[in-house]
Amino acid sequence: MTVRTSRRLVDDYLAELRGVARGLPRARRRELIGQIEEHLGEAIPADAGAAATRTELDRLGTPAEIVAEEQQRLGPSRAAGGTFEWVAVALLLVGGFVIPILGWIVGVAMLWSSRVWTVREKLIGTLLVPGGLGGAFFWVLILGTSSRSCGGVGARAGHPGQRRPCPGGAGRAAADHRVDLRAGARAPASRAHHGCVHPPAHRAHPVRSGRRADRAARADATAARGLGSSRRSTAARRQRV
Amino acid sequence: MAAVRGDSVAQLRRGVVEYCVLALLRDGERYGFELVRMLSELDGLVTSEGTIYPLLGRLRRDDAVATTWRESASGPPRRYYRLTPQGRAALEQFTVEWERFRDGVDHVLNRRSNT
Repeated sequence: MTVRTSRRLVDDYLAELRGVARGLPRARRRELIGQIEEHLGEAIPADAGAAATRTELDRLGTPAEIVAEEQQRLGPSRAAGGTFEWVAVALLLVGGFVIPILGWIVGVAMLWSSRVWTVREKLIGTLLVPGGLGGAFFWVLILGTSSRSCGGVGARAGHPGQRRPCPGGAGRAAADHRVDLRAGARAPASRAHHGCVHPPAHRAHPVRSGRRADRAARADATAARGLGSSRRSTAARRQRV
Repeated sequence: MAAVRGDSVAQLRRGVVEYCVLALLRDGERYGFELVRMLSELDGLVTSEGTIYPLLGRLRRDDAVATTWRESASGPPRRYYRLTPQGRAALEQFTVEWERFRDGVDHVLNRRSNT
């Protein structure tokens, strides 16, 4: 009799939990309900009485309490970059190669519609390389072909008057620029992702990193002072001599 | 004022308890129920056991812990949690911060009670 009551209490509890958890994203709802079922399986033996079962359910807390906690814990983590963010970064960088200009524009739209990045990061992502690497590549290509000609090569070859576009030169220029741009463009992307994958580790210790920076700055200042004073004393010695 | 104080204690607890979970996993993996029981045995750390599970899910999504299913001798399989290198690094960082924080707070509180 009591065993059946225990089973019933647990079933009612889980039914209530499923009802309250309906608003959660599916994956989270499944995991949470699985966790609670597992807990109840461990906490309440099959032959438990009604009183023992009630005690265990009380220790667990009400379904509303658990789901409220889930919603609180869910917030910032949902903003941890997912496929959407990776696609946005990919489009920002190389979208211009796939579909000139438009690919990058879609990347910008995705960047701004994501909740992962701050406005500052979004501005950096948008303005650092307008048009993305693809755009930059095309710009360099256009500028390279229009401004650079094969004057040098032509002159050496004995055709000083002949000015023709030098694809090799432009290509080299584009390649040179591309290397620079890539190094520059990688910074905000990796920064943004770095920031979102581990928000607790990084956001939790702003004081510390600030202090570290201060300490480093102080150390630099001390070193500079030391250098300065030694220089001064050398100068003074020289004057004395 | 009382309500605000209660809320900030809840926030403090919420922030600290996740590192307590990581600390309990420092020496090896544990299953959910085991973790929850260990935490709830500690006075004042957990209000209701069920609220630990959302935290465990969160830590898993943040790659601070990883989970594995294992068969248990007595009943259905258990979800075991273990520390990832990221989780271990976060725990180490927190331990340093916590010691400073605790000493600072103790210092202020004790000075107030002495004067």
